[in-house]
Amino acid sequence: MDRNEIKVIVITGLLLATFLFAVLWAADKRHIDVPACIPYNSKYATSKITQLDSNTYQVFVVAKMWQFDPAEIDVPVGSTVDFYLTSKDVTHGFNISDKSVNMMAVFGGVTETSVYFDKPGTYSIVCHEYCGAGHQNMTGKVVVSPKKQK
Amino acid sequence: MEDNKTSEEKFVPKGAIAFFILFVLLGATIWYGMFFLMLSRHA
Repeated sequence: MDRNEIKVIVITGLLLATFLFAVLWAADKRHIDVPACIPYNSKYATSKITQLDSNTYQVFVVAKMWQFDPAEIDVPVGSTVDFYLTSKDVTHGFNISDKSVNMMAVFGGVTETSVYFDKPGTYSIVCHEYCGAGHQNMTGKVVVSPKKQK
Repeated sequence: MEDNKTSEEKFVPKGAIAFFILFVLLGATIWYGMFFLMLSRHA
């Protein structure tokens, strides 16, 4: 094998190794988890927001043609929100802007993820899985207030 | 003929090497750009 070919293979191998190391480092040290699918239960079919403690919330989101329920979620800054997502009809998408949330709302299934809101503002939620004639209007928002609610 | 052989043996593909290095750097820049963007959104 040519010397230059060996160099190319070694350099690309090292680069791929740094990619793999970075992914493993993020998963371990930064506790980056992927959304989880959990067993379906009828309690997830009813939307609600539950406050577990001063900065932890559970939000049960039900997606349906063509809206999210609840459409607006208000939490104080510094909150951790556990989203439990399901669908009442077809498959919908659930994407929160400026947050790495990219989930599917599937009928008969529940998808769960946890999001920490460290900055105040309004975070848009959009359906990014085509779901019918009103798909483009299917939005929601997370409003993160600057101070803790009392 | 002798001269041609000598010049072929000494040939170093400088353009290809430069292209490869830039290509690898571009790939790493894009990859790590996306990686740290995702991490910042997980703050």
